[in-house]
Amino acid sequence: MVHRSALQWQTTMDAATGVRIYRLNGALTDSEESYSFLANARDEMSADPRPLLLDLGEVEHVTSAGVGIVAAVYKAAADAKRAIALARLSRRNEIILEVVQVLRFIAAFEDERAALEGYAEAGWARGA
Amino acid sequence: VTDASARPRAEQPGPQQAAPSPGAGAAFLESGSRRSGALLRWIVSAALLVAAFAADHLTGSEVSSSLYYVIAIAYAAWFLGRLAGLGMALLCALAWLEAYTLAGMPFSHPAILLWNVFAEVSIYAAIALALSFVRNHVAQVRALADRLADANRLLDREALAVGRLQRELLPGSLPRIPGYEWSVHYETCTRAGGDYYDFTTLPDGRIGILLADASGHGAPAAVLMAMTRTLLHTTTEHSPTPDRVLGRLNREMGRLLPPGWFVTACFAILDPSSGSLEYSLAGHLPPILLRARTGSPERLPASGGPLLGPFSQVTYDSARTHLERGDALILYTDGLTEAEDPEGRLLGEDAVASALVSAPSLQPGAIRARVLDCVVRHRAGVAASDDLTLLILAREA
Repeated sequence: MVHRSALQWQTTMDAATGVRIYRLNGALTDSEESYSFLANARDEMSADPRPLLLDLGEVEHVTSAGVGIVAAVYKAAADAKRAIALARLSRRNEIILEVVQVLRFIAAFEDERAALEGYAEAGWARGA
Repeated sequence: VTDASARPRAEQPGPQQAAPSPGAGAAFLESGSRRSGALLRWIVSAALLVAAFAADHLTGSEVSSSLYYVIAIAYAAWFLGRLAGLGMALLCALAWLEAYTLAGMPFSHPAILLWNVFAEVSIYAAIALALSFVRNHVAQVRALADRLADANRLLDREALAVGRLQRELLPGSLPRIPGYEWSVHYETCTRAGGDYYDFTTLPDGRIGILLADASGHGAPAAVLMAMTRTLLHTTTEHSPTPDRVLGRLNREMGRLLPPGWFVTACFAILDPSSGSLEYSLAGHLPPILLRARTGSPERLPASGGPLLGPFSQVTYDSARTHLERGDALILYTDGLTEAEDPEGRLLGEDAVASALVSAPSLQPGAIRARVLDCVVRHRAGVAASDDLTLLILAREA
């Protein structure tokens, strides 16, 4: 059995665009930590609605419950009329999100810089 | 686990019956047994004290005698409790004093005798207290382990009951379609599962086939599966299409499901007379079609839309294909393609397709066996981390 570390995350704000970046690390599963992340993202979004960027570069594993969490963050962002994007998807996680067609709704970028440029080009930055 | 024609059943036997409570006679016998056991332990303690005293006396004052007494004290403290241990410590100190007195070798100063008696009593009492303390903690740990085991058994019984109920929601039998043959494999990774398959016979004779996979696994996924079944069977459409069925399920689930939960599904409608198959996918893996003509597996286009629940405003597409004579259609959940090997690598769709090359001439049961063999070899002993369902429909040649 492969050992997978619990999900951890850090948030930071991109000063130039005002985009809130979540850098996730570990396994996005049906763990307590994953649901804590969802609750945290929803709370922060309702308190201070800004465009979101989920950096999944260090997420080694996404289960179906993890897909549900990404979809729920998307829905919360959509309800708050905020933009959301993903960055640094591994090929494995990209396939999983492709199959469930979540990537039809959430843009995925190669890295954070590309995502922030995408936000700026689309006019989504600064909470627009 | 594998069932070619009927609903898979729980592997475990029926609900465990509560053990009959002991009657009055049994209680009396038990308490009598406890009493006689305690009496025996007191007798053994007294015998050890006498033996220690005898050994002390016989070996004389030059040989250290503490160990003889410590054995008696340890036994009393461990098997009879703290008070008995302290009492034994006092008796042992007196026995030691008596043995020394009988030896008739006075100390150079009376205060030394008093000090030695005090030291013996203190050491013996400390041993009695320490051992009774350890014994109490061991008893507490055992009691805690028993309570945990009881709680675990209770949870397991509940999970088993959920699993049995959930399996009852699956079709009791597969629909008989002249000219077609089914094979099904249904496997949950925990007691209850979130995979679901079902069939509906439409008024015009066409057959609706649903294969769904609720997010997560275990009891929560089983609840989602039950919700999916209820919503599927409340349709009022006379002539449904796969995209409309999934669209309706999606809207209902968007209304009902809490954030983070979803269901993926494949809904297909087969016209048995022509072999025409219309299907739509909701975030689900595309079916594989084994063409008898070409002898190779064909991944059907991923037509449909996203998973059911989170994206409630979307519409779904349908696609059509045709089952020629000898063709086989394979529907499956992601427990198949996401089966992991010991290094955490996924099996993947390509490996499944490779296992199916040259399989078109096989019967559905043999196709199922070939796919499952591929999974078992890939897992290499790793326990399944997701539910797995295979639904194989073959048109006779």
